Order: sequence, then structure tokens, then C-alpha cells
Amino acid sequence: MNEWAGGWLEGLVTADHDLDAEFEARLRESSTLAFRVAFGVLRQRQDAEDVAQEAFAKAYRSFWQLRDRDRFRAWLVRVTWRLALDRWRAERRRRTREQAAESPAAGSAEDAAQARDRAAHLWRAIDALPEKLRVVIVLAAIEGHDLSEVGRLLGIPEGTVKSRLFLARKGLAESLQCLVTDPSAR
Amino acid sequence: MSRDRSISALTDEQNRLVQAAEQDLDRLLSVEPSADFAARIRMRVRERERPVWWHGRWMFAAAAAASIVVIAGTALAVGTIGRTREHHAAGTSPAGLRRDVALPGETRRLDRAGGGAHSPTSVLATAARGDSRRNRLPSTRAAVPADRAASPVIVIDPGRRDSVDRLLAMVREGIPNLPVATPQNVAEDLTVSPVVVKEIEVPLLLVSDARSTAVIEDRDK
Repeated sequence: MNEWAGGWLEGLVTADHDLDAEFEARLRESSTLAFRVAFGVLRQRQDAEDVAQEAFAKAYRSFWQLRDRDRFRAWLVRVTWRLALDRWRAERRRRTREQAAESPAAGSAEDAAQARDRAAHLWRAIDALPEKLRVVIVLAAIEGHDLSEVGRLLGIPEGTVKSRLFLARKGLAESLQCLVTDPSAR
Repeated sequence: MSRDRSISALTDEQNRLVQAAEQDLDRLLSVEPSADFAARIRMRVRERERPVWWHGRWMFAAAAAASIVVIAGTALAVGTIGRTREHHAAGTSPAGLRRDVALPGETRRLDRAGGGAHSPTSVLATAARGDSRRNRLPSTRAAVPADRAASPVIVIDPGRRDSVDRLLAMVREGIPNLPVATPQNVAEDLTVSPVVVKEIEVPLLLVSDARSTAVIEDRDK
């Protein structure tokens, strides 16, 4: 009886370790994705990392339901996006996101200023989009996701992604055109 | 971002703007997290209490252990009962005698004690009777010793004991004209005389009280 109970407990511990190993694998392959999704909303490294950590902590608690890779990534993206939006709304008034926006391609000071200016225009145009369109265009810009991958992450059909992406691009173009032709709108 | 999606509905100027914007967006979102980002995730996960599925697993383990104990206890009890029945079948233990089977000795004892709890018509068991109910009770068969199995056992009302004794005495001594029921004479006794249908006359009943009384008197005569 004792041997049987010992074997049973050992099996439990082994299963525990298997789950931990799987979670570690998901963490390695999806941590950057979660960070970038959060960054796409918050544009601030520290906040984005914090939100991504929170999303992973939630994922760990429900990991027994999320062992499938695609399901885990889709769940992670949606939770991260929602958490990031919550954080962004909570801190919207006291933060000036344009100043926090980073420009990794900055060369000289003049180039850096120009890149910062362009980034600020772009984020402003993206923020002007409805949320459904915004999440599509941000996810499509992360890690080269194509339409089917974006559809899987958001749990919507590929055709819906295509139409939303078209509307997002159109809205983005109109906003940017407005900003280019009317600098006072900046 | 994949570039295979059509944006033909946009003007050339809009196309140029969108393509430039998408390139910027690709670059802006190519930002990498800090080097210790994954380590901090692990730390935060460890800081949290154990996940729900972990607790659920131990609850499941406790429930399974309890079930195993119950099953093992039931199996032990069944084994004990089985062994006891084997003892009874081998006649090694008198404790297996069913108390709802009245043996001749017990019947007499009950009669003397005036056991009124027994119904006068209840014949509880007959060891020699091969009815289906007995066949379903192997323990009853095992409880009746073989030397007594040939004697029928009847529980009777103590108040009718004298009558039964007299009847038994008459049977033992032989009653001259005691009818013995056989299928033939039972059939004879049951023969019914033929039914004759006859026309009967019904006297006229009159409405008048005096006349009806007279008619009734006439009928009585």
C-alpha cells in the first residue's frame, strides 16, 4: 500500500514537473510576443514588461487549461492586450506617452528628433483607430504575423482580419494625411 | 508585417503613407524586453501562490484516497462474509442458522412459551419443500441439518394446539371415513348439475295500496 501510494505521489510530482517544463517552454517562445503586444499599447518599456509579467502570472494559474500552444498564445495575446489597455487607461492622464516612445533607429540628434516626431504621429494615428482595428494592425506588425496567424490569435476568421486590416490602413492613411497637411493638428 | 495584402482602394498618396507607417510600426514594435525579463516573470510566478489546478489536484488526490479506503473496507467486509458463509456451509458454526427458520424443536419451544408474535397462519419454512424462494436462499439450505430436512415444520397458533393435536392423533390412529382428496374425487365433488331454464310467471303488481297488499298476501300463500 505504501509503495503504491509512494508511486502515486511520485506520479503527481512528475506530472507537476511536466507542466512546469511546458510552461517554461511557452515562456521562452512567447514572452517577447507578450511584451511587444503590451508595448504596442503602452509604448513604455517598464510598463509593458510589468503587464506582460502579470499576463504570464495569470497564464500560470490557468495553465492546465492552456497546454495547447496555439491556445496559449491566443489567450496570452488577448489577456496582455486587455491588461495593457487597462493600464493605459489608468495612467493616461499623468503620462505623456509621446515622450516615452522610443526610437531604436536613432542616429544623430537631428535624426533622433525626426524619428521621434514620426513615431509620435504614427502612435497618434493608431490611437485614433477603433480598438478592433488597432489590435489587428498592431498584431500584424509584430513578428511578421500574417492574416491567418492574427485570426488565430484573436479567435476571428481570416476574412474578418482582412477587412479590419483594410479599414485600419485606410483610417491610418487618413489620419496621417491630416497630420501632414495640417501640422496644427499635431 | 506581410506585404501581400491589397490596399488598392487607397490612393497613391495614402498607399505611400501607409507603407511608410507600417515600416515605422514594424521598427517600433521590434523592441526587445530587458535581459532579465524572463527571470522576472519566473520570479513573479513563484511569488504567487500555487495555481488553482495544483490545489485541485490535491483535492482530487484526497478524494481518490478516501475512495480507495472505502473500496478496500468494502472488499474486506465482503471477504469476511464469504468466509463466514463457507464456515456455515461446512457446518462449523451454529451462528449461521437463520432465525426466520423454525426447526421442530424451536417450534415446540415457541408453543410452550406462548409466542403470540407469530401469526397462526404463517408457515415460515419447510425444509422438505422445494419452492423457488428457498432456492434463492442458500444459507437457509445450509442452516437446516440433513437429518431434519425430511420433516416438514409448521408454526401454529398455540390456541389451536389442542385441535391440531387431536387431528394429528386421528391421522396417526387412522380415521375410518376420513376422505382423502385425490384429483378424481375432487373432480366428482366439483361436478355441477345442469342448469335448467324455466319460464316463470310474474304476478301483476297494482299501484293501489290495498290491492298490492292483497297481491303480496296472495303470493305469500
